[in-house]
Amino acid sequence: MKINKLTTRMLLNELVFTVALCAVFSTPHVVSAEGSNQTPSGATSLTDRSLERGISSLLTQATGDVLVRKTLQMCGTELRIAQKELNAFLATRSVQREQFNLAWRSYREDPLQIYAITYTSMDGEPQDVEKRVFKDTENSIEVGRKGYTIEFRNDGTLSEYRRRDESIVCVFHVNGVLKELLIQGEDGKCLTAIWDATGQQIVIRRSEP
Amino acid sequence: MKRLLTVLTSCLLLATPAWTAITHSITIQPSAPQNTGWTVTLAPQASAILIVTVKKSEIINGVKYSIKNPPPEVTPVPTAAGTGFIWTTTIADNIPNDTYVVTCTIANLGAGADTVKATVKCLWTPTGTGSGSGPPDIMGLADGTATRSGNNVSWYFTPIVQRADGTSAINWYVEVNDAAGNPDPSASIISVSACPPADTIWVVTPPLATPGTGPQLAGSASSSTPSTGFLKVTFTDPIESPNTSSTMLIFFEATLTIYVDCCGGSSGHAWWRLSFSPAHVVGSVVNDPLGQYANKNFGFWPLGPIFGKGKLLAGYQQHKETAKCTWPCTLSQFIAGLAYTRKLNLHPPAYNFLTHNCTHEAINLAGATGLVIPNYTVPSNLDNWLKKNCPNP
Repeated sequence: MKINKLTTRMLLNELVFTVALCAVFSTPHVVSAEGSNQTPSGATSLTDRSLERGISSLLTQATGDVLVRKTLQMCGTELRIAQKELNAFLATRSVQREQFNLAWRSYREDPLQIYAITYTSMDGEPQDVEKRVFKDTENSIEVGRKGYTIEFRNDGTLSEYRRRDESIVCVFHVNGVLKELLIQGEDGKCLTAIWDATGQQIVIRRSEP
Repeated sequence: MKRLLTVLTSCLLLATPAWTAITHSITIQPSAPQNTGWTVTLAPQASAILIVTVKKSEIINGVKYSIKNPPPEVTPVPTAAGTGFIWTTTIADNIPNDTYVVTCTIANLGAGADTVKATVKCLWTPTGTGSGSGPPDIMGLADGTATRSGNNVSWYFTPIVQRADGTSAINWYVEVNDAAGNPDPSASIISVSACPPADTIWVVTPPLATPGTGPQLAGSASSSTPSTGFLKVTFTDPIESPNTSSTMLIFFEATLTIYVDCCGGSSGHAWWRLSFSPAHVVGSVVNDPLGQYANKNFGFWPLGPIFGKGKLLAGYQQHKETAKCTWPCTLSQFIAGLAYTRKLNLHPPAYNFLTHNCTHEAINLAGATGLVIPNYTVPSNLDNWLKKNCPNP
C-alpha cells in the first residue's frame, strides 16, 4: 500500500490525538464551586442582575396582542424559576467545575433530569445553562417543553431563553430589553414579535412551517 | 309567538326606518380602500343606515383594478354585549357610475343602548403591467421596500459580490407582503428579469418563474462584467381593503464558514457559522425558527461526560481558529444548513470523543449544505484539508 505524505501526517495526527485524549483522562482539571468567586449564596451577581433585567423586561413588555402578552407573562415566570434553579445549583458545594477542551463546565445528572452549565472561565460567569427533562429513567424521551437553554454573552448579559422544544424563544438586547419573542404552536406555525432597544414593538410576523 | 313578534317588528323597522335613523355614507375605491368601517352606538329601538359606494374599477399607474365578484358585502359586528341587533343589506348596481351602492340598515332591538361596527371588504384584481414610480435604489447587499406601484416594480442595484472566477453574482429575494408585513397569499410573482445597461449582460436565475409561484421568490443574478443594472419584478397583487401591502426586494449573501483550531486545549475544536447579510432581514427570507440559527457560531460538545449525551453549543469557547474557509450558499443550501443545526439542537446525537465529536459534526453540517469534506474526526486533519482545499482562505 502506498502511503503518501499527507496520509502519514494524518495518521500521526490521530496518534497525537489519542495521546492528548489520554492526557485528558489522566489530568482532569477540576475546581470546586468553593474555589470560584461566587457569592455565599452561590449566585453570581452579574448573572443574577442580567436575569432580573430580563424578567423585568418580559413583564414590562407584556402588552398588546393577547397571545404575546400571555406568553411573555408565562416566560417571565419560567425565567424566574430558572433563576432559582441556577442559584440553587451554584450553591451546591458538591458541584464542581471541570475543564474540557478550554470550556469550563458543571454537570449534574438525576434520574429524570440533566442540568449542565458552561462557564466563560474557571471562575467566570455562566455562559450557557441547559436543563433537559426526560420522561423515562433511560433518558430516551425528552420533554422539551419542560427543559430550557439560557445563553449569556461574554460580558454576562442575558442573550436568550429558549425552551428545549422551541415552543417559546426569547432573545434579548444587550441592555436587557426583550428583542424577539418566538412562539411556535404544535402545528409548526410561528409568531415572531420584535422590539427595538427601547422596548417599542416594531413588528409581528407570522410564518408557516 | 315571541319570535313572530320580533320578526314583525324587524320588518316594520327595516321597511320604515324611524325618522331619527342615523345615516352615514362612505366611498371606497382601489386608490383609497382604507375607509371601510363605521362604528355606531344605537339607543334601544333605534336604527341606522350605512350607504357604501364601491367603485368597481380604477386605473392606477397604468394598471386597471377591477372588483372581484361577488359584489362587496357589509358585515355589521355588534360588540360582545350587543345581542339585539338585526340588519339587512341591499346592493344596487349603478352601471352609469361604474359603482355598487350597498345599503345596510341596522336596528337595535335590545333593551339597552349598544354599539355595532359595520365593515366592508372588497377585492380588486389587477390586469396589465403598470408604470409606477420605482422604489429607492439598493446598493450592494441591502434591502428595499416599495409600496404598491402598479403591477410591477423595477429596482436599480449595485452589485458588490465579486466571485473568485472574476464574475459578479448576487442573490435576490422578492416578497409581496400584506398589511401585517407577512407574505400576502393573494399575491403572485410572475417573473424577475434583469434589464442591464447596454454594455453588460446580466443573467437572472430563475429566468421566468411559473405564474402562480406565490408571494415569495428567490434566485440569483450574475454578470461577467460587474456593473450596476436593474431588476424588474412583475407580479399580480390584488388590492384588498384595507390596502397597506408592499413589495420587498433583498439582495443578500449567504455563506457557510467552517473554523478549526487544530491544537488548542486538549484536542482542538471545529465549529461553524451560517451567515446572512444583510442580517436584519434574515427573518424575512428564512422563516422562524430556522432564522434563529443564522449569524451565530455553533459547535458540537458533550453535555456532560465525553462519551455521553451531545449538545449544540453557541460560541467557540476561547478557541482561536488556525484555519477557516467560507463558501457561498444558495438560499436552499443555506436553509438546509440551518435545518441541520436546528436538528442538532433539538435532537442532539450522542457525543463520542473519538468517533462522533465536534469535527465530525462540522463536516456533517457542511455535507447538509452540499459541501463534501472527508470524514475526519480529528481537528488537525480538518485544518490540513481546509488549508489545502479552501478556494478563499
